[in-house]
Amino acid sequence: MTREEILQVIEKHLKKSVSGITETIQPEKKFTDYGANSLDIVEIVSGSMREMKIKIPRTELSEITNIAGLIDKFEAYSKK
Amino acid sequence: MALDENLAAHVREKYASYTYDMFMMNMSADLEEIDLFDEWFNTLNSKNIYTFEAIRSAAQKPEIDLKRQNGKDVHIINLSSYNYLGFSYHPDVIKAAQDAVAKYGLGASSSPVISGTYQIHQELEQALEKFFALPDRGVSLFTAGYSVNLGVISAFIKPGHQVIMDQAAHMSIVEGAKLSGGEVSYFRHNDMAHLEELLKEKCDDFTRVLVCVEGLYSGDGDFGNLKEVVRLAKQYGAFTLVDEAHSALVAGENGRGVCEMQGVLEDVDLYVMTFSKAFGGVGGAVYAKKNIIHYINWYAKCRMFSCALDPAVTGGMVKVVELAMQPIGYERRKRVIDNANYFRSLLQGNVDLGVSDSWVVIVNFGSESKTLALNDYLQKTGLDTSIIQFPAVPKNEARIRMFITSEHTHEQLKRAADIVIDAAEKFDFKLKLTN
Repeated sequence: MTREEILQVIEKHLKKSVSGITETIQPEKKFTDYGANSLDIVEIVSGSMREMKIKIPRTELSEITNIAGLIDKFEAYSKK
Repeated sequence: MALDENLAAHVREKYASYTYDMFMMNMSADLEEIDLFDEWFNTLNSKNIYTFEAIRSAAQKPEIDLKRQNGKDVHIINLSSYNYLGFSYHPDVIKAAQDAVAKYGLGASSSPVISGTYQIHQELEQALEKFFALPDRGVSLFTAGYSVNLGVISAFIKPGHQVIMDQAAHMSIVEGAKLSGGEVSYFRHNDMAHLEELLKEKCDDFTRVLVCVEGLYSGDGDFGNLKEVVRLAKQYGAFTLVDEAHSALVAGENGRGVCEMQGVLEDVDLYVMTFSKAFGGVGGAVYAKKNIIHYINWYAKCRMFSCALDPAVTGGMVKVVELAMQPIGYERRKRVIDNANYFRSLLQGNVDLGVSDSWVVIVNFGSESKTLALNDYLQKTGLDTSIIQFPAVPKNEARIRMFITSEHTHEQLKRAADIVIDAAEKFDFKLKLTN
């Protein structure tokens, strides 16, 4: 998958969890910048994993600081 | 599929750093998060630090014995139960519940809309209408406080409508808003300028907007600024829902909540109360204009599609409302406030009390990583609290939450404060003197 395709999946799950987002998602931003709380983030990340069928090891999730970081992980594990 | 041994070992080693959200993450078809949680639960029990779900063998009185899930006994001062006025074990309340169960049986055996409304339910509705004493208002009863918010918000708000809530609002308000399909926005806790900003943005002549706040925020122990919320909501044409779960029966001269305290009872559209706190039972209700109540009775789906409140609890609640209007109600209301002020005065200067200003006393201790060991220490030294951490409050803002009741003695509160101060020393959250 390309980074653009990964971002589209993440964006879909972000907009499903947090209502009222109209702007284009900027990868350098955090989920919290778009109003997602920690429980929303769990839904967004795990929903994206299930949709793309890519599993990021649980122990690596805490290293992710923004949306771009999540895309990096998805990109890395989609190639494994 | 068995849990990967490396992951299991990780949980056993890092058990203290695991938070609620981590066990929600499911990535595939296997039951990994469930097995992982089980690993965590068993680790804690084997180390004798699982302090949650400890078994009570008697009523929630100020000092009781507990049995931990692994069978170990502890004797504690009980600051973990929100039985604020001690009504759950008042002999007249127990008698009223017994009389109701003898007359009506154990369960209501039907939805309240179909055939589960008994005379005792009507008596409770009428008792509450008398208690709040506003004209043309009615009461809708629910089997859980959680369900009141879930059902009321999702009945009142439809897709295309707006819900604006305080960021510290209870999970039941958050879930009710999400269930409704309306657009949800949050304002910073008690920040009226932020609320006004959102009202300006969301309100127009076409859209229904509901502002959801609480009388007393149980995660922070502070009061909502209801006066200002109501003023702003009126100015912009929005409706208001006030959850008085922790304040109904306690706050205000007559116990009508923070709404009474701040003089806005009449202006609030949906007044939510919970019977599990000061009422000493279980269930809840919404108090609103009669036309709204008639609609909610039918369109709050978790009410319509649930069995009615059980007769025993309903009978007990009728007695509680009666007691709350008698001298005993006024005495206990005064005593719970005096006790809370006394307890806070003992802690003041030693620990961070945050913004708590009520019978919910909060002591901030910071990182969740301390929670398990701290709670274990508190219980073993004789104090049970309602410790809270994420997701009930933001991450790294974990707190010891203590519910003060009218029935605690000063001697018990002094002992409890000493335990908290000792714990603060031991777990490094004692305030340092600066000058």
